[in-house]
Amino acid sequence: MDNLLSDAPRLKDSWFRKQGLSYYATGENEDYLADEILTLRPEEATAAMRAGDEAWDLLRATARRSAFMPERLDRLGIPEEARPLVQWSVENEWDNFLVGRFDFAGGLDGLPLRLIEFNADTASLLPETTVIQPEIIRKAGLTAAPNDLLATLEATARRLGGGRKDTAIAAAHLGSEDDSHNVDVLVKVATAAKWGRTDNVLLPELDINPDEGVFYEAEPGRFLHYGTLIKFFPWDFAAVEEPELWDYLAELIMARKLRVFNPAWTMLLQSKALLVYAHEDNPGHPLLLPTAFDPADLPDPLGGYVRKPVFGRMGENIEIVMNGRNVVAETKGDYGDGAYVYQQRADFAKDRDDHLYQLSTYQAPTACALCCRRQDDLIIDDDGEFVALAVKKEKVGFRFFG
Amino acid sequence: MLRKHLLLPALLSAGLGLTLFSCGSGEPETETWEVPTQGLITTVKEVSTDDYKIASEEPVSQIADSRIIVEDMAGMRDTFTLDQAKLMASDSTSASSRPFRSARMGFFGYLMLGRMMGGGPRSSAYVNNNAYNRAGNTAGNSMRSSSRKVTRTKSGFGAGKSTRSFGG
Repeated sequence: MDNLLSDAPRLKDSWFRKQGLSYYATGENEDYLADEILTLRPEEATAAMRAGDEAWDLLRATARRSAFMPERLDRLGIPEEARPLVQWSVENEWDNFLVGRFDFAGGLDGLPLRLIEFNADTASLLPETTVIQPEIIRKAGLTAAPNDLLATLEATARRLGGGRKDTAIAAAHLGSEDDSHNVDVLVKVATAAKWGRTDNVLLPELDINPDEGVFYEAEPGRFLHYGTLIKFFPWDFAAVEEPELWDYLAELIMARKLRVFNPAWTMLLQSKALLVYAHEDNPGHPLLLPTAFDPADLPDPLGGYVRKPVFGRMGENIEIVMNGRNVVAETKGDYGDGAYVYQQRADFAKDRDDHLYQLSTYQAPTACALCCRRQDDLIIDDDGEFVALAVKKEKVGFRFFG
Repeated sequence: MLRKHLLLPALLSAGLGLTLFSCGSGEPETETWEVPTQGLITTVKEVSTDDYKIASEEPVSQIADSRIIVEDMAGMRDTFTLDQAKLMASDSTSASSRPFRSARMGFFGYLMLGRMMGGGPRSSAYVNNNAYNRAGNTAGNSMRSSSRKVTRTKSGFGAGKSTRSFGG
């Protein structure tokens, strides 16, 4: 592991300012970008990308199957009221997917790749992967690991189309600076794909009317109509915390007055309970860790397991339990009130400073980019560092056949 | 700014008597207004050069069947759909709006939509008092009784969540 690490060049403050991304290198984020680059072996990069595509197929198949099984929907955390839209979404907009991100354990140092989770509807790290990582690798003079995220997203966006020409596109978030920067990337993609006017907007500022559509009062009495919503707030947030918002969106979407990316069916993939059913549907699959609703149902609970909220984020409310009873790591957070799943503990590659490395693949919907985070802790959460990825140049050899 | 969505303010500025409520501060802001559930065929006649007045308004069951029929002094007729009326009302500079522009049909588009939402044009918009009264008794009553109140809610959804990221 350690021989794959090299010093990362420090990008100038002026460069971050010029990109509008100072947020990622100043203040409490001053140490967010790792001071080292991880150089993957070509076969590691290839395996990770393939794993992304394979995991996508596995989870989608299980999601589609589960969407019409009431007992699975119960445990997936899809409220009864939310099911009509989720099922409509499966049947009517199954291919309308913009972007998501798989997180994996392993994949380095000979450790097997194991799927940790899928970030289905608010996949972050977009500015880091599309803007910052390429610049770090370029300055270091290394070969970039696979990273066609922007180009693939743009191609996907062109294929999907931007919707009604007489309406604009809202890229909505709840206000955090990080989320806003991620939304900026999606705005850039929509603009490049010629979707039309696309605005980075705050969800609370939108007027959402179940009969008429989504509006923004640009000036007193002057309303801008949005026919497409790029959503950077979670579907589960709407379903659980703001059911009225869910109802409004459901009415508009099912009346085809509004298109939302990612669509409502991605809530199935966002639910970590889907990992239980994916494993159940594909027992013994090497990518899928045994996952259960009760740790006693895991094949080796004494070998260690991770307790995760069904709808958790940012590594919050996680517990790692060893020997069936010892909590060796835990995080606090906002997601402790809901249901949990229990996932067999997986091995992460570790460096000399005890950083654990987590590889991720972006899916748009095919695997199109790699990124990585690390943390000197057993749980990779909001305190993790972003590690720029390079790849070793493949040696070109000549063989002479006699 | 997509001007075609400025219909409500335009109608209000045309003094069509639509209802607009705003609730007090501290609550989600709401506006209530009327939306049509029936269509309307409005016939407009040129009474003197470039001066057009409403001759009749007849309700029809489907909104999509709404039309504005424009008849000039020579008896020539042009028929416009509701969508064309909306377009012309919102884009008076469009080259394709010639018949509307010359006849200020955009204004009649507003009037028709206002009537459909339960409002009523002033008597001066009609060719005579008989036409005004007849329209009020037929289209006016029908539209008032069939129009539907709709409330737009200013979302506020997720307000107060701005300090944390929801990225995954």
